[in-house]
Amino acid sequence: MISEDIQIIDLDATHWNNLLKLFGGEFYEHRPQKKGAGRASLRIIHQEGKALKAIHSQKGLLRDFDFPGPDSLEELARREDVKRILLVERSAPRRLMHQVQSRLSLDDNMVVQGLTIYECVRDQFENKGFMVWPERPLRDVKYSAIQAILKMAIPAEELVMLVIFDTEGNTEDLSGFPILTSLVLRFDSKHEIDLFTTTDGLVPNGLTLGKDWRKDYKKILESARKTWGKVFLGIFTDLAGMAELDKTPMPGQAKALLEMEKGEKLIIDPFPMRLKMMLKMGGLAGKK
Amino acid sequence: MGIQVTSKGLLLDGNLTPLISGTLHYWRLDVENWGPLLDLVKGMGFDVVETYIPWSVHELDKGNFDFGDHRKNRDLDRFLKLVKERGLWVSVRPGPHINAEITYFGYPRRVLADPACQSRSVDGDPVWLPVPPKMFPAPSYAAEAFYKEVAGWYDAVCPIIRENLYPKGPVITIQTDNEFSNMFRTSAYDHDYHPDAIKLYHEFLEEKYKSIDALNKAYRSRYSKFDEVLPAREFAARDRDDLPYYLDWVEYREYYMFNALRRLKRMFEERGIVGIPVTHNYPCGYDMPPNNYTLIESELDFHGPDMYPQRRQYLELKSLVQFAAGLSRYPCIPEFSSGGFLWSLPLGLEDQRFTTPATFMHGIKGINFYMIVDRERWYGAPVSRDGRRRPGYYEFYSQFNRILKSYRIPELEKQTEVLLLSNRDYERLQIASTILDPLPPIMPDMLPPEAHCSEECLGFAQPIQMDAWIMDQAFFFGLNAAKITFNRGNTSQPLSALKKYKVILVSTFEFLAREVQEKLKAYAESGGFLVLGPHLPDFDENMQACTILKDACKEPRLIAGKMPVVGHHCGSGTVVWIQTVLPQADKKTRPGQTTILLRSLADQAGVSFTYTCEDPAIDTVLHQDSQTRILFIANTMDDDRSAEIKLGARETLLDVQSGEEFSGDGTASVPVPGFTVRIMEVRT
Repeated sequence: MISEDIQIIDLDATHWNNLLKLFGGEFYEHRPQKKGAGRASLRIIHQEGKALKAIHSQKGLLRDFDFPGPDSLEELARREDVKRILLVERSAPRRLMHQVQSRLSLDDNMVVQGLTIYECVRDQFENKGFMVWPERPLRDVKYSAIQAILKMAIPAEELVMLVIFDTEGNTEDLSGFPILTSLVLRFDSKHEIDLFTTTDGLVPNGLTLGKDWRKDYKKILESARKTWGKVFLGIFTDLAGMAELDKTPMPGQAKALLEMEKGEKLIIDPFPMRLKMMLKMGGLAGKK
Repeated sequence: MGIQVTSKGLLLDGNLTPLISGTLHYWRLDVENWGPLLDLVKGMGFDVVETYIPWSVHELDKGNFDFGDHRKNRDLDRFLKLVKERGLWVSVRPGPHINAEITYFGYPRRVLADPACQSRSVDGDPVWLPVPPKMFPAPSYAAEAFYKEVAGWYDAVCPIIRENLYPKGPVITIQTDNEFSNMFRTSAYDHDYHPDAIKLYHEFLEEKYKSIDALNKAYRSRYSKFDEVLPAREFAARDRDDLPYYLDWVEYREYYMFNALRRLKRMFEERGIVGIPVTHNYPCGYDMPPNNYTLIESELDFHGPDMYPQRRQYLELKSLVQFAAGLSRYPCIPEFSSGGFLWSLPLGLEDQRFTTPATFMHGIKGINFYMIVDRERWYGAPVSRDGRRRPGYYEFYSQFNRILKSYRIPELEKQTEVLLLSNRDYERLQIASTILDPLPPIMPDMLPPEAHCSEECLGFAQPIQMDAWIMDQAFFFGLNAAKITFNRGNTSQPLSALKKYKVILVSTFEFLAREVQEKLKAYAESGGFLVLGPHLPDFDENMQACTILKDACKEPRLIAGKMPVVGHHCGSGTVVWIQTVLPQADKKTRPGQTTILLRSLADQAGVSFTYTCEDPAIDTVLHQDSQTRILFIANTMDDDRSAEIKLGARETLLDVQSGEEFSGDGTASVPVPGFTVRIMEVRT
C-alpha cells in the first residue's frame, strides 16, 4: 500500500503542520477541551508471578510492589485505582522480536510488514505474554481484505486530493495560495501510494488562484491533472466546511457530506459514482 | 594535517573557519538548479555546504557505478566543482549508512538482503529497522562480508573525493558512516550476534585483559582461552561479583562502534583521503553506551549530536549541547533541524528561531542546518528545490549568519566553571541490567533506567543502576534551578579536561573504576572542588577492594545544615560528600533543598553569579573573549517575561539584532517574549 519508491515532495512547513492540526482536531472550536489526567494506568513486568517492575502513570515507579498475579488484574485495578493495566511477561518481548524478525520480508511493502508485526503482537496477547485489563481482543486484519477494498474504491494510477481553503487569509506559506492545507495521494499500478504531495507542487507550473475557492478549485484540478495525472476524487472546502462535517456525529456524516455538497459548502469533483452510491447507502444507514 | 581542528573551528591556511553550513542533496535536485541554489545558500551567508553521497543511488548494480553518465544529477565531481567555483567549502558524507529518509538508508538492497552482511539478534534472526517507507534488516558492522561490499563503494567514490580535497578542492571534512549507535537499537542484548561480531568480542576481551588469568580474576571464572567466553544474552547477575562480565559486554558494544568507525576511517586513508578532519554524528547526544565521546574522538577528529528539537524541548536541547560542549574537541551539531521529516515531531519557523540561538548559547561552535535546500521526503527548508525563498525562513538564516559573523560568536568562550559528570560505570550498569530486552530499540534517554532496569540491589545498599540516574537528574535540575552555568561530561574524560573546571559534580556509589577514582582524587588534590555522593566507593570495576577516594578524604567537616553533607580537604582542593541520594527531580519537580545546597556549594567554590536572573523561566549564559562579551538571555516558557539581569558597574546591554539598549543600577530589565533567545552585547 506504500511504494518503496514513494515520492514525498513539495511540503511547506506551515502547510504540513496545518494538515497535522486538521487531522488532530486542533482547528475545531466545538471539540471538547482535553480532559485532565483522569484515572491512571499501571504497567507491570513480571516473571513467574513476581513483579519485577511496576510503573504507575501518575505516581511513577512503585518499588517493592505487591503483585497478586496475572489472574487478579481486576482486583489489582481496584486496589491501585487505575483504569488500565498492561502486563508484560519478562520473556515476552524477546519471543515477540524473534517471531517478528524471523517473519518479516524485504519483498513485502510496509503495510504488509506492519501487519506481520501486528499478527505477532496479537499472538503474544493470545498466549498471555502481554495482557491488558480491561481485556480488549485484537481483531484479525488481513492485508488481502484491505487491498481488495482499496482496489474497489480507487482505480490504479489515479489521484485523490483534499484541499482546505483559507478564507480568512491568514496562511503564509511558500506557495502564496489561499490554502490552509492540502493532501494529494497517487496510487500506482499495484495500488501502492507512490506520490504524497500538496498543492505547493503546482506553483512551478504557473498556477495562480483568486479569492473565490468555488471557482478556483477547477484550476487546481486542471493543473493537478497536467502535473501528476488523472484525478479520481477531489474534495474542496474551507475550514468552516470541515468544522461542520466534524461536528456531525457518526453515523450521520455520510448524509451530512451529501447535503454539504448540495449546498456547495463542500465540492466533490470528480465525484465518482461508486463513492456517491456508498455515501447514499451510508446516509440511509445513518437515518434514525 | 592540512587542516587543523580547534575548539572554535577549522584552521584553513591559518584562517579560522567555523563550520556553519547547510545541507543540499545534489542527486535530489535538477542539475540545472545546482548553481542557482548554491548561490542562494551563499546568499544566506553560508561559507560551507554539506551533502551525503548515497551508495545506493550511485550503484546501478554490483561494481557498476554512475557518476553522471546515466543521470546528470549523479555527477558528483561536477557538483563539487560548482561548489569550488562559488568559493564555498563542502563537508561530504559518503556513508555507507546515510539515512536521508532514503529507502534502505543508502545501502543497496542486495547488500541488506545478503545474510552474510546482516546483523543478528540473540536468536540469530536478522534485525529489522522499523522505518518508512520500508523496513529492512540492519547490516553488521563487524561482518567481513559487509566491509568487502563497502570497500567496493569506497573504491568507486573516493577517487572523486580525493580529486576535490582541500587545498586543491573544496572538500574540508569527511564523515564516517552516519548516526551509528547500533542502528538506533541500543539494548545490550538486541544485536549484533553475527559470528564476526562475536570474534570481535573475544578480541576486545583479549585487548582489555591481555591474559586469560586476568579475565578469570575479574570474572571469578576458569576459562582457558578468550573464545570460551560466551556473549551475554540477558541480564542474569545475582551479586556484584557477577557484574564485571556484564559491564564488559556493554563496554564491548562501545568498542564495536569505535572499531567500525576506526575501520571506515582507515579505509578512507587507504584510498588517499587524508589531510582533512574525519567526523561522525550521533542520533542522540547523550554520552551513554554505546556512545562514547572520549573513545570515538581518540580516533576521529570530532563528532556531535544530531538534533531536531521543538521549542518546548529546551532542557533536552540544553543537556545535549552541554555534553557536546563538555566532551568534544570541537562542539558541533552535524545535523540541526532546518525543517523536518514527516515522521518526526512537527517543526516550524517558531521552533527554529528559538532553538538555533539556544545551541550557541550553551556552547555549540559549529552547526550544519539540515536541510538548507528542500528535497523529497522533507519539509521546511528555507529554499525550495526549484529555488524559491520560503517567507521568513530565508531571512532568519541570513540574519542569524550575519550576527554570528559580526560578533564572532563561535570564537567566544562560554563562561562556565562547573562540570556535571555522568558516570560511565553506572551507565554501563544501567544498559546491562535491563529487564525489557531486547527492547528498547530506541535511545536510552527516551526511556529512563527506572522504566527498564532491574531493581535488584546486587549486593549493594541500593539499586545503583536506578539511583545513579536519580542522582544525575537531581544534579542537572538542581544546577539549572540554582542558576549555575555548567557543561556536562563523563568520567571517561582525561584529567586534563576536568582541570579546566572549578567545580565537578559526579554521582558515586559503592563501586567505581580504579582509574576514575585516581582521576577524581588527582583533580581534587590539584585544587579542584569535587562534589560526589551518596557513597565513597569501596570497590573498583572488578569488585575488588578499592578505596582510593575514601582514603584521600581528610579532616571531615559538616557543610550543610539540613542534609548530610561533609567536606574534606584533599591535597589543595576539596571533596564534598553528599551522603544521601538527592530527592528525585524532573522538569516539574525541582526540590528546593537541592537548589539551596548546590547554590551554597557553588558560593563556597567561588563560582560567579553575575549576569544571572532569578526568574526560573529565564536562562542566561555569557560568552566572551578579550574584545567582546555576549550575553544570551533565553525565555524558556511561552509567556512573555521581563528578565532582571544582574550587571557589573556601569554596564549596559545592547541587543545585537534590534539595537535596543538596556541599562540600570546594577540590574537591567530586559523584556523577553515567550520562547525567545535575545543575544546581547555587554558594554561598559
